[in-house]
Amino acid sequence: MSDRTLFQLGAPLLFGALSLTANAGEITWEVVETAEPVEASAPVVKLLLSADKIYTAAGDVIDGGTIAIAGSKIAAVVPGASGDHEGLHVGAITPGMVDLSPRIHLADLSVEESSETIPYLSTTDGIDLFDKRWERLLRTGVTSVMYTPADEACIGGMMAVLKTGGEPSIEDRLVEADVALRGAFGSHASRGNHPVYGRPTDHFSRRPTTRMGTEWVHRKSFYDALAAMKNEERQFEGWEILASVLEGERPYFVQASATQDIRTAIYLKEEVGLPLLVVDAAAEAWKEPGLLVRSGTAAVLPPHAPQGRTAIDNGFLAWNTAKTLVDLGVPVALSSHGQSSVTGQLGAQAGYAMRGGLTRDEAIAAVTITPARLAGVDDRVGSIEVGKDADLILWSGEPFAATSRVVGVVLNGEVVFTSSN
Amino acid sequence: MLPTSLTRSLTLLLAVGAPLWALTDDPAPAPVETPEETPAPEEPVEEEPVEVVAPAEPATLLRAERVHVRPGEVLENAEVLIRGGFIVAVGQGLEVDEDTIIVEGKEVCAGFIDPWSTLGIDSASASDLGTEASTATAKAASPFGEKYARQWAREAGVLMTRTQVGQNAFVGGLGAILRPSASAEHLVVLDDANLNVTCGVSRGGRGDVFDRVMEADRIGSMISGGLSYREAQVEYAYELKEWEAAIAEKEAELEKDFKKAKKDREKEIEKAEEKDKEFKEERYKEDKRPRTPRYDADSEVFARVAHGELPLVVEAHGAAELRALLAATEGFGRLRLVISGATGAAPFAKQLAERDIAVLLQPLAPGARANGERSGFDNSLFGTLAEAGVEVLIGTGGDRAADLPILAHLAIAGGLEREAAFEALTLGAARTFDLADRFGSVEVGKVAELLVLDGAPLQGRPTHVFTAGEVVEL
Amino acid sequence: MGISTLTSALAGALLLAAPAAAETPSAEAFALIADHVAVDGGTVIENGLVLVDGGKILAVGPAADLQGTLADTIRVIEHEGWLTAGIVAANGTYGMVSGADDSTRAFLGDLELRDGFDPDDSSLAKATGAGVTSFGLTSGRGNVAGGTGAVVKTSGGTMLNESSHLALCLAPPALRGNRFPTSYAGAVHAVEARFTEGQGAFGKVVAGELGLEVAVSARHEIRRALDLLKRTGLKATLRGADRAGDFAPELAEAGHAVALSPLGMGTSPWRYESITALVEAGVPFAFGLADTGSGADCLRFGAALAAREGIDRGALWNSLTASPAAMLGVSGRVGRVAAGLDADLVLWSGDPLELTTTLEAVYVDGAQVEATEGDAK
Repeated sequence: MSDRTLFQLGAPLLFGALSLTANAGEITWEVVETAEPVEASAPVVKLLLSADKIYTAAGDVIDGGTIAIAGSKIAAVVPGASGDHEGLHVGAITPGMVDLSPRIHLADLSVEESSETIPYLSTTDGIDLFDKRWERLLRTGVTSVMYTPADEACIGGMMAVLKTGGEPSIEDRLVEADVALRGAFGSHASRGNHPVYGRPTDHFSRRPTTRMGTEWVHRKSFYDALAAMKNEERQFEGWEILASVLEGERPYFVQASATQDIRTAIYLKEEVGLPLLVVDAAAEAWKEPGLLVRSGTAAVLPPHAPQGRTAIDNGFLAWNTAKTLVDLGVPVALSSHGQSSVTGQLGAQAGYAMRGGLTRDEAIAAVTITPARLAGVDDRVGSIEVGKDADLILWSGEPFAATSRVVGVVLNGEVVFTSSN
Repeated sequence: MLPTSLTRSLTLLLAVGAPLWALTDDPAPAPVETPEETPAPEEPVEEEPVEVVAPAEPATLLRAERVHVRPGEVLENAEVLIRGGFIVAVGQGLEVDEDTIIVEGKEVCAGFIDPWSTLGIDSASASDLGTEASTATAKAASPFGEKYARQWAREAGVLMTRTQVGQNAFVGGLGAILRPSASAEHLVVLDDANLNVTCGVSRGGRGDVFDRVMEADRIGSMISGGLSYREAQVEYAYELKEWEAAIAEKEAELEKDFKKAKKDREKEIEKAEEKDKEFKEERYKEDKRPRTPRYDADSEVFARVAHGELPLVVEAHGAAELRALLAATEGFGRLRLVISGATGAAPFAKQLAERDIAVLLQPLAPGARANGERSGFDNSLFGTLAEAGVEVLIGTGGDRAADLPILAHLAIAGGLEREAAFEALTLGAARTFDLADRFGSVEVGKVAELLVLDGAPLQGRPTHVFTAGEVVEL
Repeated sequence: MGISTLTSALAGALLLAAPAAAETPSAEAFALIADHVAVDGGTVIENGLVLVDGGKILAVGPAADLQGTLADTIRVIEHEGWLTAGIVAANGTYGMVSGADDSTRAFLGDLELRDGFDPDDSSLAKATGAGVTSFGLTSGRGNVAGGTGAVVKTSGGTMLNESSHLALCLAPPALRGNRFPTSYAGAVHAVEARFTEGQGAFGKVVAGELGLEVAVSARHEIRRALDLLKRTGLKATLRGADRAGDFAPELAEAGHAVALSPLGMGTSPWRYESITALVEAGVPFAFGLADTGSGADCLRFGAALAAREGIDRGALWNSLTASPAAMLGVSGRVGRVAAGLDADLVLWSGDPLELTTTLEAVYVDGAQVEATEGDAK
């Protein structure tokens, strides 16, 4: 690693506009005049961050290292140099977290309920980026999310990955659109529905009323899509999206919390052939982990809840669920599922997962690179690697330890939050 | 101490055989010295709330192009010197100390008073229908809640409100003058600004015209009841004095002829024993103490109202109620009546002017609808009443005291003279609610509740407000 | 009001140059002379004269210059106070006696709102009495596409434009549980599909034959509408977008206009800040009546409140007159006191942006309408 020094970036290294100093965990900075004009093409390093430990989530932990940020990207990650530059020094740095189930949505208005299958809708068309909860996520270190609507439809539209900060517009925050298709099993997709009696008065009078009905809608939709793939005449609105899921171009994220619903999801995967299935809110995945292993299914776990019962179909989440699944090789991502309480936040879930047996590295992966990979945006976010977005969490000490706190958050190369402001 | 009954004191004395003089002649059996009597807890004296006097802090000098001393009186390029929360000088070229804080502005005038408000109390108290005459708004006042409404009020120059609990109750209780203050210390300026009653307003449905008119009569009887109550009190005080004198006289008389009285009494006892009859003590006619009239807080309030010690604010709207109300209150010479709401007051303008009854109106904002008893309200009523010589006051009628200057504009649009509107918000309101000795104008000796404005009063925006003893820059 | 008060000579030169002034007034012609004649938000003529003939404004200028050119027989009405153009409400549902929403279907773009308009409805006279002489007849918020609106006069119900704009709503009232769409995403998808298909009213909007009004409220709704308009390349008037100030530069760049709900007593400070941002960015804005239960007199009152808050008076007066006329595509007819335009005029006791000012007379098409502001309640 000795050849990867800061001066081999191929451009003069300048401390751009900011000079940062760390003092007892508090961050301060002052504006420093640049000595000379810099060539426009040169990657100007505007921020240097060093830490006692850098958890890259890309396979290594650097004891005492420095991250150089140019523009919105990570320009260099080098060992050493800790504390001997004008930049900022903190206890530890991890990648910004990725939450695949943030659940910040406009309730009923976020999901089209007039039809049970709406793959052709963009869920981000129903987003409220002015919601105060986005900023709260950012301040707790969640820098990217997969936008999730309410799970009131069986097949609920295409999802996008967004940054949690920046201008409140999709244009500014979008990491990637249409990354995955959304669906739901369990009681939510049929909640409130009733059989048609008399004159239908609302959408509740025609959608599935049972879990079997929900499953039937799924199977019908995918079989219709399979038919449409072979026969042009059988094409319908959104068939190509279902086809892309069947062909493994994008994953199918489906909410299933109770064992019966996880089984249903996996049976569907095996029956119609869904190469990429991710079970969201998979609280009871620990009961039959073999099913996930057998089918190659990934899991997004909901936050731990008092007495273990989660809000989704009362699914029981055991303390060691993440550990059990990770040990078996199941890709596991943790999520907040919309919980903003101290115990429900994503960072806390990583801590709980460690208490349940995960190593720190595994826990960090479960809130960074694994969710980024499941959403197909690991080329942009999820780890500390040269060329990736500079989305970082600055910690006072060991990340996710009860005694540590987030002292700063870097988003797209900008310090967007420090503990002193 | 109330004198004990003569008979009882005599009986006691005679029964124990201790002669009255014994107490004076023989100092030996010193009576058990009761500890010096603690004075009976005094009735809480209705003191003027103590104004906050800033301790020997630097004085403040407000310097402005125009100082509106009082409605109709303006000083050009003048100064106002404030020390210890009071206006100590108004004039030109006032002497200042080195440490005097100088505030410059365009115009200076007295702070505005919203005479019809619910700011400072919770909505439940404001809409309470179970209030009585002695229910005091000041007790419900709280410096918390409605943070922005208070802040906006101060920013709009409204430094006091006449806040009322039981807005729609038949008898709403005592109104208070409150500051839209953020501190408990400076909240209450006056805790008995007025008594509020309503006549024919809807309280979950409006009664028919007879019900409404009957309320006017009931108001009349209550004031009348207040008068009788006060009369009884006065009479009692007089009788008591007489009785005390009579007792003293008789006691002296008995003391003088004590031996004879003792003998006579012993004889009587013997006689009774002989006849095997029970001895009966002689009853003296002086023993009949005048009866104490029962104290009643509510009647007390009405008594104060009847005697003009408190203004009576009556909300009434329809012509029928107003007519009945005017008739029912006619005989009370000292009554200080203020009619609020007064939607249908136009035909009574002359009578209101003759009887010096102030009218408190809530201007109707364009776009807003006047519902219920207020339907038909038109801002032109301001012009009609003012022209007839009625004193008109302007109130917001809710917790949005900040709207007061805007409402004043609507009153002007309705025909009220600009100067009269200014007066209604300052000295007029102060006069009506007994604040004029301390507030309402920029005169020496008054409390500094002032505005420094960037334009003419009502039009301009306050840049500073001087309230509760300190100047606040906005 | 006026940003600039033209000197009489300059104003005379400018305004008399209008071809209409050259025409000979008929016997019915009359002149109104007022202390202040507000041509629009930017120009006020002191002691101005407005010559009215045949329901139209024939000439406008300083009385000193114009009076001499008039025949002695012409009736002259002198007014102490201000003379302005009639107020134009950016939107309203006055006269829609059987309701402004047909809730049976979410998409009713081709429904003509003029068909539900009753020109004799009493609410219209009340609006006239408040000085509001024209308004954009539009739908409620009950449908995603509520129909094709019109531009109407409040007195006599004259149609200035029978098919002026397509009224869309991308806010909850249009999204209902008993029909498609129930969600924002569904509504956006369906609207976009219709613009792509280009049928009926949607097609006319794409072709530029019809204006577009999009009703929104919350900031995310404004954001969503802006994204949709960007994708479809359309310009629109955002109705009820009271938070539009947060998007002012973007709105200015995209060329959208904003129809705000009226200001009133108790308006939160952010609304004034939002309007200030629109003024600074140069976004055309106006006030509408469709989303309020308040009477028409709230328009001027709200603008006067805004003036009191220090917002540019010229821009505010334009927001009541010239801007909505332009937004509704009828600036060739109403919205200013200029030669050739309809003689829809209001006489005020003073500056109409002062709270203390009262309305004294209203003229529509050159005829005085029996109404005073008091009647508006």
